[in-house]
Amino acid sequence: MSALERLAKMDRRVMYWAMLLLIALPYAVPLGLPMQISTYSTEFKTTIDALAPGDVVLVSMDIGLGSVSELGGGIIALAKQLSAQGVKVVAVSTVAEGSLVFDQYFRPVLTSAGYGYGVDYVNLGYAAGDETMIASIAENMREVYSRDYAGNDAASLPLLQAADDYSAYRLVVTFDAGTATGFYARQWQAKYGTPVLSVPTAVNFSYFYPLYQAGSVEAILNGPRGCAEYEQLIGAPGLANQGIDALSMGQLVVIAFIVLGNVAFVGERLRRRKQ
Amino acid sequence: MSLINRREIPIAIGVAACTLVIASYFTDNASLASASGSLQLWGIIIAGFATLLGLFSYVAYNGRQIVKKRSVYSGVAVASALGTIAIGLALSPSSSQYSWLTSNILTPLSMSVGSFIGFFIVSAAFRTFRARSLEAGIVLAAAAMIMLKNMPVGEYLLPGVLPLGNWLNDIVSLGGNRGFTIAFAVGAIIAGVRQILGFERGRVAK
Amino acid sequence: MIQRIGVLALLIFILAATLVSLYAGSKGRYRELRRIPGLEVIKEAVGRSAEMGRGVIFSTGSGSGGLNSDSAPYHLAGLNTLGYVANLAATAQTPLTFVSAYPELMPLAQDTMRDAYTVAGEPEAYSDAAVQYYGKGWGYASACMGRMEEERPAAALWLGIFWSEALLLSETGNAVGAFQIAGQPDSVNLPFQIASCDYVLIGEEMFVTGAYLSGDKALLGSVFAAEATKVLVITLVVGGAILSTISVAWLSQLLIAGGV
Repeated sequence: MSALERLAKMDRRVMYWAMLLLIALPYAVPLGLPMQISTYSTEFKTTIDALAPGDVVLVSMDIGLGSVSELGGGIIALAKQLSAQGVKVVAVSTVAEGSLVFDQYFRPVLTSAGYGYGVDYVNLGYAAGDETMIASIAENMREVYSRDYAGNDAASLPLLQAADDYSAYRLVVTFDAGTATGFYARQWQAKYGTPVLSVPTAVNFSYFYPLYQAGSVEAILNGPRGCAEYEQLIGAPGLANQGIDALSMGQLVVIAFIVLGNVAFVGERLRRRKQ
Repeated sequence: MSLINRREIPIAIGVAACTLVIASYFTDNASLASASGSLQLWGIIIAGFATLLGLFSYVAYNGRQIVKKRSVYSGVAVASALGTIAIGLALSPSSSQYSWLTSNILTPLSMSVGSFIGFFIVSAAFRTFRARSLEAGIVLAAAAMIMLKNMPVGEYLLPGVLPLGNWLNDIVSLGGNRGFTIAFAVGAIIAGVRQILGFERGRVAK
Repeated sequence: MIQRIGVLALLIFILAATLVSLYAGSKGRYRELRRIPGLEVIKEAVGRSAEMGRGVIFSTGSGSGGLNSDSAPYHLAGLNTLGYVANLAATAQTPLTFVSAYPELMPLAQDTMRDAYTVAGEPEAYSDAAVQYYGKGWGYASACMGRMEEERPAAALWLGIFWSEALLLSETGNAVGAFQIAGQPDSVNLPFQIASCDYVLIGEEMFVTGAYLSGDKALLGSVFAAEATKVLVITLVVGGAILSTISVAWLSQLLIAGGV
């Protein structure tokens, strides 16, 4: 077997090791690779800037814990911006683990900012039903959530008494590893005109981009890269910025192996043609 | 044929439910909206019960595996599921114990599985993205542009890749994507109608 | 008071076209479908499994949701193919496992498979345990991957809706040497399946599986409704673009979802 053939039939484990080592490298030795801030992230931040103290925002944690590595930085950054502006937060989730994500990443920022549970923020937790659930909470939140995530009677929470349907919410922000952005675009934006902001995982960005272009989604962050940009925009580089070098390295590895694959393929073809 | 087995009954229920929900979307009638809301709540409740059905099946299957001594991992699976439920029910999902479980077991496991994608993309891209023809070459070049555009460092590696990548994304890809989405949506509506009217029955023979 | 008239008119058109074409089809007025390689090779995939003495795995994916979401038509389209595959598997006496990411799909899958095994004359070969539930998302993906590594199926069918799990499943299938057929609507994750699978159903090919595999006249007829609607949509898109260019906005206003 020629060297080119061996290269073309490279064992997948070689690629996996290369990926692992090169992604780990920036964590050991921070590379400080440069990054340009996109207009999407600027728009996202500006939309949140427009909120006034006391406004209520629906934060929908539509991701599992597995997606926190991608969007965790954005979650913390949003919590920081909202709490700095005195905006109240009601959290729901279409994913069972979403309420845990809120508790572990969003809630600590709010509590350290002096937010009071039930008055300034509420975590209602997960409810089954996907789009049906999202349509229902727009009409009557307490009918879907009779109790919050901690088991408190929803009717006893002052924030929920004041914000029981779509009319009380200035906007919706969804952290989305599924299709919740589409659900909110149809059930909240199209029906009631409530602006929807989306923070999708990287792979879902292209999927929701048409909704953003059509105006159904007011602003959008481009996955972990968008989260890193957003962190920089609010002046609080954190989790997302730590991972951004690794993200660049990971994508470079993919490109490098595509180039290698093509070198092997074209080289082998030329060799056979000569023969 | 007994009443309960008649095909017409589920079809009639399906048509009535659909008509009600669609009518509420296209009108501003309060009674219709309320009825549609109730129907959607029923959907949520049924989905909740379906989860129980899934749990029973999961435990039953893995239980059989344990009894037949086929896999020790089935024991781990059942213990994990039942243990998590027990702690959630006994101490509430917002308790520190439940949080410990999720932070120290579920989160790292979920992230590990999610991270497989990064590895699998390399092997799939290496194997498939080859310039076998002119068309494949064009796809390859476009994919490389988009990847570089999405890299935070892309603009510095290849100046001009950001506007070019954005153009590919916003014009070429978006146009194709919209066509794809519209065609799929039309197909989905028609498939839905066929399903509700009982024409699609998962037939088994050609 | 009726609202969103433009969208309502489109919906009425689609409904009318579907009903008329179903009726016309049942009376024998339909056009033959072109050959769809991804469906033609299903027989070969199941036959290969039987020859190799390994099983077949089938799933409609985790995607965005179950029957309560906009993913429902895709799960159901996948289930329409399950009956055909189960019939082939029963005839070839090769084990078939259906992995469900949503519990509400389980009774539908069990029912479909039971019927298929009965029609194939092998009712005793069917067991409800052939339909498995592993939860959705990463739990589902890792369970499927583990199962494939353990059982090394000779064929894998991924027909439904697959999100980030698409590559995990199909690349694992590729690693274990399974002959893979995929089909789904998600244009973001479909390329991953194209990269890893042997055959992929593109676009609406997913929705004609029932008609294609069963040869049912009414279903074949209903394909015309999709074509007619697409012609209407293309006309609206081109017309809307021209009108918007000359600053006439009534058509786009009429068609926006929130419009009146």
